[in-house]
Amino acid sequence: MNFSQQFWDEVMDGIDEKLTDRAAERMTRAGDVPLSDDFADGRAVEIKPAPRKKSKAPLFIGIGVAAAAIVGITLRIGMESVQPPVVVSPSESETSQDTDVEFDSHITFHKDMGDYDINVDIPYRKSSEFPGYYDIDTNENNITVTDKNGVIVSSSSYNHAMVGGQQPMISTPELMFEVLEFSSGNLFAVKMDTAIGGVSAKAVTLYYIDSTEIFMIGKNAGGGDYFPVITGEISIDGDSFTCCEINYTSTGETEKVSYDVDFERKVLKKREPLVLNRDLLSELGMTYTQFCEKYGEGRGKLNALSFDGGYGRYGWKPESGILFEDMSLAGGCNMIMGIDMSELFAKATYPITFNDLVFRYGFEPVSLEATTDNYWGTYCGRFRHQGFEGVYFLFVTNFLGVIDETTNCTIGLDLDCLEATPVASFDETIYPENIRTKYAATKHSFTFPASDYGKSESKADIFSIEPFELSISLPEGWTSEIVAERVDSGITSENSPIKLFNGDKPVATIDFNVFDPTVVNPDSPDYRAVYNQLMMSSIVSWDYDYAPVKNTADSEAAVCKIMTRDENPVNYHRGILAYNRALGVYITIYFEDVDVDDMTVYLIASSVIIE
Amino acid sequence: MQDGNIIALFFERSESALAELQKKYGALCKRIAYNILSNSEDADEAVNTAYLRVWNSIPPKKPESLCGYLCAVVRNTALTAYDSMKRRRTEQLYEELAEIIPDSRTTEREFESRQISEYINTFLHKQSALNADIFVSRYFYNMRLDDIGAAVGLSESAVKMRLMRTRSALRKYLEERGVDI
Repeated sequence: MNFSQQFWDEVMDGIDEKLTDRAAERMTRAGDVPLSDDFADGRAVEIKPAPRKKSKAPLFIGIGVAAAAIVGITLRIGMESVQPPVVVSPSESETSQDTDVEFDSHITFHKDMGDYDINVDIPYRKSSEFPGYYDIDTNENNITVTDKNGVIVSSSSYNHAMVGGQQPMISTPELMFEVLEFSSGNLFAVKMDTAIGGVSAKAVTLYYIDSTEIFMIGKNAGGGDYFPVITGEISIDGDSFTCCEINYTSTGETEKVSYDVDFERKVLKKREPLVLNRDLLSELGMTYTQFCEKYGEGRGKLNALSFDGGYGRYGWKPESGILFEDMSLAGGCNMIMGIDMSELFAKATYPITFNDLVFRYGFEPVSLEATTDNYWGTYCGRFRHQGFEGVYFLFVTNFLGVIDETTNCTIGLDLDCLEATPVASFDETIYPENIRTKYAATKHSFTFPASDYGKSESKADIFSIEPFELSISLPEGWTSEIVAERVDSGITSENSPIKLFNGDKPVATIDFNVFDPTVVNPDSPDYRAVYNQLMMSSIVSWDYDYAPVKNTADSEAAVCKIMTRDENPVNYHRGILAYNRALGVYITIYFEDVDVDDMTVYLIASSVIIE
Repeated sequence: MQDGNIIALFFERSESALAELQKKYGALCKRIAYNILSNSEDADEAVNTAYLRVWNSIPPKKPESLCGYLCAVVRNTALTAYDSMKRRRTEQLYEELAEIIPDSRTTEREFESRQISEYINTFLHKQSALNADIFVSRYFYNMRLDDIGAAVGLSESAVKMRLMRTRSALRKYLEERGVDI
């Protein structure tokens, strides 16, 4: 290396304090708090939106009280009115096979543009699961892309360089061509004329849009003639980025131009539920007196009050329009503003696009507006969800239509809440009856090895371990039974298995095994090192959709899918894996009952404690 | 506890200020120090030294961002400690930065480090806040890619990709200003 590290240190020492301050503050937002610790104060409610339909979704009321009691830490532990989380699951239509989308075939796009004869050769695989229809609008200096539901998925402005201190005159950009139905993204080109001081310049820009960003993948400009993209390259070294190489070949004097585009893209979409803080949602409509009982005296002015320990700023709309500190507040709070995203969604994986809200989580867009005063602008989206009748969610995003941890959120009781009459009193009927329905959960404890079933000479080391205890919360009505007869499922290791029943119906099997804890790097734990015996087979593998639910320095519990391949092509069952590195043991739960849904499995996993 | 309240405790010379500081930012400080020193005990020592420096500097100083100020002090303390030892962990960072760090044999004669810092500051202010924060977290605070990813909600590879794009743009930016790479 031909540089001086000391020199670089000096350079970095001169970094602007504002930049280092902001970065440090962002780093404090590390999302390493286990999901189950965030809002798990009560029973959870799962709402499953029907894929692409607005039909009434089935509701599932899961367990969680005992799970929460076990997990312990909560953001607001000790508050009597803490409510259970609400879980909005992604659409069932996105199976694990569809979530990893890789473009691996080609289409050719050809369009005679008069001056241009354009051929675009794009390798891709169309996925019918992704809404791929977009409308591209170019006006002034903006490109706005809306999907077929009118949701703006992205917008961008041209970034014009100043020339000689003057802003070039830009004619309205003209869309040259577009490729629609391009899976989750879209490819299009824009040409525009510029002129300054009598000198004209013309440019062609090729863009690729996905659900979160516009990538400018090639641009060239010159005076007097259009020069299309010569070469653009964005290398790939990740799981969600683009790789393209654009070659330009001129056909000489015929003024015909062709593009040869090799475009490769991988899109990873994770099926993760959105966990909504029900405690927060339940505060809509509460009276000032009720808030005082919960948090103590409020403070603030105008139309919003803050409470120590509260979530944001709580809004009333008195007739006078202005709320004075000593004003007696009538009615209920009709909106909560300035909610931190981490307090609305627990452990969400960002970014979540507005498209995701609509198509994956069943939210309904109500009103959308963009401001583009600066390069990115902000974007406000109001949404409803069928599970929360009368409640709207307003997201103000820094990136257009992209919800991340910087997004500002407001929730309100109705769409006109800013002008609405205060709610007379807290009315629980604002929530559908079935959301309030609660199921009890029961804590169970099992000691492993539970029996000598499966013990053999080759498994002597497994059965000679110091017994350990598994604590777990199961839905009410579930019972357990130590297996006396051979299971022979070929799926679990069959080490002193315990069967779980829902009534008379067998639903799952719990099993255990041992592993070498030294193979797990505590700084970078790899679940495959723990469960390697379960993941190596091509006939039965637990290595599908592995998603940790909670973890500590020494343990992790996760949900997963179990693939089995027998006479039928492939079957998938739900499963739970959990290990304790200090003890060198792990447990497996195989759900043979396919009617046990994701959220039940998820909540059971969140309750697992091995000690 | 809010930062303002913690600073107030410092001004009151209340030792609970340090406890609150540790409670709120201890993990982050430890991570920053550890990423430089690659040793848990050394990192603890650096963090404690940093706390002492913060204690001695507030008051009279009243930082706009307590978090940023503290992290910078931790980082500088750790680097100082690191300089007294063998350089270890940061060599990887320098390898990443080789593509944009000026050739010191020629550059140091022509450009003061301060000038290049200014260029980089200007450049970073033009980037998106997220990309700038990722860059600063990586190369100023020496944060690990997965830690950055966890903080900003991106995968490690996505962070890596953003860094690569930022470095590439920075290299071009510096070259345009005559900085010999």
